[in-house]
Amino acid sequence: MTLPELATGRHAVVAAVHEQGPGDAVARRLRDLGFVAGETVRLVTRGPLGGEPLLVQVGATRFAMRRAEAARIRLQPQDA
Amino acid sequence: MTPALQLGVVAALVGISALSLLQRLAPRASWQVQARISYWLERSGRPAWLQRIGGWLRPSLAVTTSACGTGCSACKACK
Amino acid sequence: MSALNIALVGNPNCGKTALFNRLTGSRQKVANYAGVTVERKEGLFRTPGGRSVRVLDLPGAYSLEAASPDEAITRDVCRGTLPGEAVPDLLVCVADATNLRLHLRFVLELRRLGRPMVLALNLMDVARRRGIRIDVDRLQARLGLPVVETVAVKRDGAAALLARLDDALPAAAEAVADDGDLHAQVAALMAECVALPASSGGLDDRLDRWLLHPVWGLVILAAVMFLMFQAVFSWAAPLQDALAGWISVLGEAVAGALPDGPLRSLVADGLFAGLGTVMEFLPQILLLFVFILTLEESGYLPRAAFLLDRPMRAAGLTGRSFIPLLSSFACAIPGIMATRSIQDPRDRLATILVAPLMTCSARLPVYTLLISAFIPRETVAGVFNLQGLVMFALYFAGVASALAAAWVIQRLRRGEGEHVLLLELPSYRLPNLLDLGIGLWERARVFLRRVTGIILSLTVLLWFLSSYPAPPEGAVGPAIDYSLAGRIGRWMEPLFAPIGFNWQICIALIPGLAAREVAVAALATVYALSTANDAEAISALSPLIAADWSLATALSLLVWYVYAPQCLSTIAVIKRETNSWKQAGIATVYLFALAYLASLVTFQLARALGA
Repeated sequence: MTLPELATGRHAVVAAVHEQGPGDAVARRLRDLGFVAGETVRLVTRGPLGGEPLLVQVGATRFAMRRAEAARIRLQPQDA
Repeated sequence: MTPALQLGVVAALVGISALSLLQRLAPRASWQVQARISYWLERSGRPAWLQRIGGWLRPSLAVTTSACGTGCSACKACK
Repeated sequence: MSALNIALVGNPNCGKTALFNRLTGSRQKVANYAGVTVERKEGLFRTPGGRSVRVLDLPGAYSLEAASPDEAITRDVCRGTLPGEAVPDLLVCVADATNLRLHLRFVLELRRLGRPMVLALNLMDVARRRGIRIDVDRLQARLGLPVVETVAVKRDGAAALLARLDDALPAAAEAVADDGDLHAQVAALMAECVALPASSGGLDDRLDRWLLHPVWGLVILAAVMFLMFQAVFSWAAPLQDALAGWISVLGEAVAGALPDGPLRSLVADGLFAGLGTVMEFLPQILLLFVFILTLEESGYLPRAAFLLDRPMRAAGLTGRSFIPLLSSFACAIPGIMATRSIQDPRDRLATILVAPLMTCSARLPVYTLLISAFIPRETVAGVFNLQGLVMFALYFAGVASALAAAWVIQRLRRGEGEHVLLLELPSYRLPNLLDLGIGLWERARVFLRRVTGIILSLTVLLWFLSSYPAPPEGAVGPAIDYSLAGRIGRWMEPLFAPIGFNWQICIALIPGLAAREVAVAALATVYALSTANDAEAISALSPLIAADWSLATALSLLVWYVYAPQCLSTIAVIKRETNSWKQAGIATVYLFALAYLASLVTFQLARALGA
């Protein structure tokens, strides 16, 4: 499951950050910002118009990102 | 203030405005033109007073693009 | 004690700038790094021990793997590879104590450089209040770096750092290329040295629930913007009038002291007209900056960017374009300078190219003149003032055109590659008055310096064009008619006939290139009126032009002013910020073309409808 598919307000754990092509600078930046395996993330809210951007909390930091950027973040399967 | 003096002051002010505008908008080109004029004036064989003017006109050599970071204000390009 | 060169480095939003302000007070110098439009901030201060310290406030960066020109500068200065910039003797890493999970990673990355370093834990007061406990001694031992606590917003909050600077330089760690997973190291450090409370960020959550609410968020944003506009335009008005009054008094005094002749004309019509027009808008611009800086300090502006990102993207911009475009409502010049915060160069260029379309306050005197002369004082539907409606329509046209133009620009130059947002929404903070004051002072200074330089030179040159050649003895008609500007204006007349501009307007447009509001004074000159300021000009001109021009011409001129870049200073700033004559040229051409087309349509349509 990727981050944009997470329900709003829910927590999940990061599995990995996938590259979208070779030398993906965005993926590297996401990892630097703390989206690494084992970290808990929460989809706080979505933009009012068009459901974009996503407001994501990782650790104590909140980031606004577009769906394409968030799609790189793969989450561990959640228990029902 | 005689009319001639007034005209002189006005001409000087207009000239300075034009020059300062050119310097702000095209600092590198202005530097090169200034350097060329200064060099031309300072060539050996010219009367001493021309050479002195050339020396006064010489733009600071430290003003290259790399030196802009050191906080110098010589070329006014950063302002 | 020897002088010291230090640099403040850290993630964005760590309070670095507040610490910089605390250390240097107003002894700061702002310029540019060579060849890039990245701000270079340097300051000077003395430690209690008498040591003189030069400090560089480096742009915030998340990593040494630079993702933008800002971060590239930080990387190069820290490594000592930036030409012309000496490597700092000491790096002061500033970290937000309330978010060490993010900030420590960069500290560890910097430690690999093997340079003398000190870690400053900033926002310690907020950390304590939130119940975050940090074992500083342990952290110091584990990191191998001296660690000090700072509270940049408190008066003596930098005391520990200053004391540390009095001591000898700390020994540098070994330079290593790669020492393993930085995140794992941070996690280990956090586990050992930092105790987090059970729940954190409550205030942020609660505020964001409302400020980012799908409905209320937008409502609140609209309310904030409305408040800002009210303030900037109504509250600044008395200040503006007062300032205009003083300037005209001063102008008369100086002009009176000079004998009649070209010098007096230059001083009164050239210098004071130029200075006066800039100064008059200063209260508005400062008030706008107060709002923007407060919103920035509080952490709200990224929220606004969040809310508006989707619609702005549909228009070919980005959420980050919001602040520059908002500033452009006062004056496009600080707006264009503010586009530096936009990472993506394509988005930045698009924002710069459409900023002049936002209805800047300099257009107001022109709009006021034409509306008061031609639009009747009626009410529509019994409620709306017709004059006010027309004004609103002009504003709306500006914004709508900007969005449309941005859309076209991005369609033409989309280019490959993703447009990335990835924007941090920092914790909400109470704005600090010292930082606000210094920020305002700095921005005002930069604006004044840039504008008075160019605008002053331009006005003097345009005065020259409008005054020479002088009219011969016994000439009738306005003096400007005989000058170079007059000749150009007359020559332009056939070109502008299709859009309804008579020769008076054509002539006035030339000195009107100095700045938009100069058109009013220029028209007064062309109609051979001698007025002291814009207000006088408007009241004297109104009946004259109402009798002389058709409604179609007036509407056409109004529309011309929505689009035309009658402000060479803006074009000059575009050139500076894009480092390219080509882009400035493109902006000029497309804006004048739009102006001509729109005026053409307006004039012909209005004439056909009988105006």
